[in-house]
Amino acid sequence: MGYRAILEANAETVQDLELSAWRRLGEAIALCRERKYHTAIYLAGLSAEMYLKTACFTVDGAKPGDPIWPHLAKSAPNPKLRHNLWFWCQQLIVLRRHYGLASVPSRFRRLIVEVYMDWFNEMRYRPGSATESDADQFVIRVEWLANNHAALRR
Amino acid sequence: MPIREKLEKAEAPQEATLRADLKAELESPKESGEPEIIIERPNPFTTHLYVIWSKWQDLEQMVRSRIILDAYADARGQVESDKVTVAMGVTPDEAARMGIK
Repeated sequence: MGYRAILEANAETVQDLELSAWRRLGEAIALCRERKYHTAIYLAGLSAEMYLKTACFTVDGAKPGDPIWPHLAKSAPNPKLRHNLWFWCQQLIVLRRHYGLASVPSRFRRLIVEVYMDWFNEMRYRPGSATESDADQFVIRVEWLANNHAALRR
Repeated sequence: MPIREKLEKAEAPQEATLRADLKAELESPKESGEPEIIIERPNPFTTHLYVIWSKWQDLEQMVRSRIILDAYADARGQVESDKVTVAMGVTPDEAARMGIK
């Protein structure tokens, strides 16, 4: 059985995204140490996207073992928006307001703007010219997102 | 041995039994053997739970996850259970493939 078939044997769940976010961030940090700065940013950005999505889905009532597709289809019917960090940031703010939860931490919006200015999903097609400083700052921002994920999802 | 025309699938272990067994293991862990429970805490407000157990074999991931969450809430309380963002049940083979150890 090919690797793809193994991965696709089960539907993606919320906890798959959560664990992937955690692992991709760890890999981004490892890539920074290896001076692979562009790819480090790319992976850390994917991690940020997954952390934002799982925060939205959890606020919307998803459990860790739930498949993501119903939540994804509900939150982002337009597939073009599914890799847009700013969209997920806004979605989270709207959902939290809808459920009467506390506002997001003040640093959150500013941080997402910064991450959004650096990352886009299609950057994987670019050879890349990121510096050590670019990658370090980016990864630190995504680490903040990971460390404050609890405050975003509850 | 008679030949049958239809496969009779063995009944999956009952959710309640697995939940009770898992709760007991969380409260009084055995020295060795299954289920093997790994509790990872990326930060003080987040818990990742992995349960390596051959008894998961015939259960869907969603059901496994529900059993783990329920057992954890039974054993540690709802506040701790709310911190769980990964409640992953895997068989030993699946754990090896996923790098969970």
